[in-house]
Amino acid sequence: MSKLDQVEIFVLGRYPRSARFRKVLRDFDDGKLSDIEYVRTLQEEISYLCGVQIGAGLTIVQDPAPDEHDIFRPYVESWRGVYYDGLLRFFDNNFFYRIPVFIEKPDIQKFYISRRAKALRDIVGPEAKIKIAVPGPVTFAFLSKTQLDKVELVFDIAKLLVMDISRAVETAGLNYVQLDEPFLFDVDAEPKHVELVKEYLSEFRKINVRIILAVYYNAPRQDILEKLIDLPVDMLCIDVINGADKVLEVFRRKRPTVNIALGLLNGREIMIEDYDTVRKLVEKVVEIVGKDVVKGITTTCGFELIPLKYAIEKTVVLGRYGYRLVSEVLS
Amino acid sequence: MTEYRLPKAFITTVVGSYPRFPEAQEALEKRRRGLIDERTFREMCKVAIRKVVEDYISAGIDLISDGEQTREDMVVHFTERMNGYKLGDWVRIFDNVYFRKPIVVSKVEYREQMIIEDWEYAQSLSQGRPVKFIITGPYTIVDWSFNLYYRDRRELIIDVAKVLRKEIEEAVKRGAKFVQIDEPALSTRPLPEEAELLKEALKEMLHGLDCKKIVHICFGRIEKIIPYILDYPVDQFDLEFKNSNFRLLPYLKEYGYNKELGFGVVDVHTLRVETVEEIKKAVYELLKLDIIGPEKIYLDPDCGLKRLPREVALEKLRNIAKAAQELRKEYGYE
Repeated sequence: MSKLDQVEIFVLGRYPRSARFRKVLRDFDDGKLSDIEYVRTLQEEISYLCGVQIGAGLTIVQDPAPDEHDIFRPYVESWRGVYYDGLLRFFDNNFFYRIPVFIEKPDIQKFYISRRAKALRDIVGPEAKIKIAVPGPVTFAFLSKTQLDKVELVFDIAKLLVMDISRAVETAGLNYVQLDEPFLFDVDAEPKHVELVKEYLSEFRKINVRIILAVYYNAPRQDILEKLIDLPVDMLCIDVINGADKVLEVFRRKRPTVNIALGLLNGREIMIEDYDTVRKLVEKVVEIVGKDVVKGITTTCGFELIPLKYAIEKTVVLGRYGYRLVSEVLS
Repeated sequence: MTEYRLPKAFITTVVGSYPRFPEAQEALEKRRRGLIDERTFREMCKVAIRKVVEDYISAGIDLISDGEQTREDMVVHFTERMNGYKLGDWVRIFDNVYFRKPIVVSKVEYREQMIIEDWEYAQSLSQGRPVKFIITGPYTIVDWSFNLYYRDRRELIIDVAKVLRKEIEEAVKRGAKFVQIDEPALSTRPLPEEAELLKEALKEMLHGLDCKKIVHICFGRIEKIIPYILDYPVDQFDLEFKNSNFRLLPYLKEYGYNKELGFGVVDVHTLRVETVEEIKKAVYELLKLDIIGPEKIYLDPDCGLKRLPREVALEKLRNIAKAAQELRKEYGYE
């Protein structure tokens, strides 16, 4: 684990699509637009959303990935041995993903993360810290259908992601990779799933990239959280808006050995959180775990399930609250 | 009204929505763009409702619906017609498909009728078949809305339940015999406290009403929610089975299920039409559990049919009706 010398302020995940991009995507799918026109619009969309993050003063630029239909789809389309089937609800959202179906041990057909990282780097320039969110292998395997052994599949998926991320680091200087493991907040999650994460992380640790582990849509159960706070990652993102009490209780019992990023703005809601309430929450956390553990200010999840105008507003608020919290509480 | 006698067993029914006819699509688009008023909108949609009812009758369905032709989606249609809500922006449901997620901005109160006219019109065309009065439940409406007003989610759910109660009460007064509350969001949080919340809302909506009360739940961890909902004040649960390969069946036995059951025997997410034999086989499996008899089994699709092409939807319904007919003969009900 690397020692983070500053508090990072960043959005946890993807952004929603603009009306223009929705239309372009529809026209492209209907064969009314060329690949070139589609790519040009996508690039403009990503540039705009990166600009919003930079303009808000966020310290890490998240790949807004407005083109990704769900967190698994790009990999299903880029790998051999897997295809996608019907729709299934994505946790407790009114949002559905296409179920990945693994029919054999997967393999990379084309690199995906490295291409995204390269595009992002070209847009934001060499100085900005960039982050890409990828599906965590446990969530990927356990939300898929397969006759294969799911535990083995976790490690097969991890191996492919590691290959792709290594290339992204090499070719685009990817700074942060975020492993999305929302499965770990789910009712079906068990401590053994955290053990799997711990095990696959050893492969990721071989890459020269900072690793963020994101568990979102709610704070995980206490027996899960107790294990998460000892994982060898550079930062663990925890939703402290939904379920602050259980998070604080765990922190009281056991001081995290991992750096924590606090999910302070609800990525699924449009209401803007009150600064004083947020500040009090951060003060409580700091009182329990100390300033040196809190190394990130973030959202509870990505913004993809709220309309774009609110996503932009919340990005700006995140920047503003982030800097105030750093100067008033965390420094 | 022509009398139609429902069969004594294996009643066939639908969950609610039917593929949208072009007339209804055009009406919805014109209404959205502000080109027509509510009255013209309703009139335009009647053509579509008539076609839905004709399809159901030709397929041999006993207990039908209005096909939800006037509903932009299952939440917005209602929130647009309540006080306290404003129309939101587009939020993605899957791929490049969106809904306008509504926003609660003040106290939610009853404003106007929402679906009674559609139901009444379908009932007038049904040749005596009962038409289910199908309404989205308060738990789902709240779950699929943004809330900028209420501090307490429970309070919001109960207020929405009170609005829906007025609509249901009026429908029952006008002769609705079957009332179905759609609550797909419940199965996403299979927790006792969530189930309790809906139970309270159901009591608010349904107490004292003389009708058959049904709750529809689909596509989630239904097996995890079942133990918490068995004491709901309803006569029937209508559940999705086929899409999840009937994995729910053993749980019904385990938890001692004994209410009527809307048994989802065809998948609404696939174009493949289930055969009559396949449907019958599913029923045999259910009967083998020995928990409820044929009189308590209603055969229907897993969920609404709106995402299917009309010819596929119709074919699936025909096979359900045919399977039911054969089953009735086999079990001595005809």
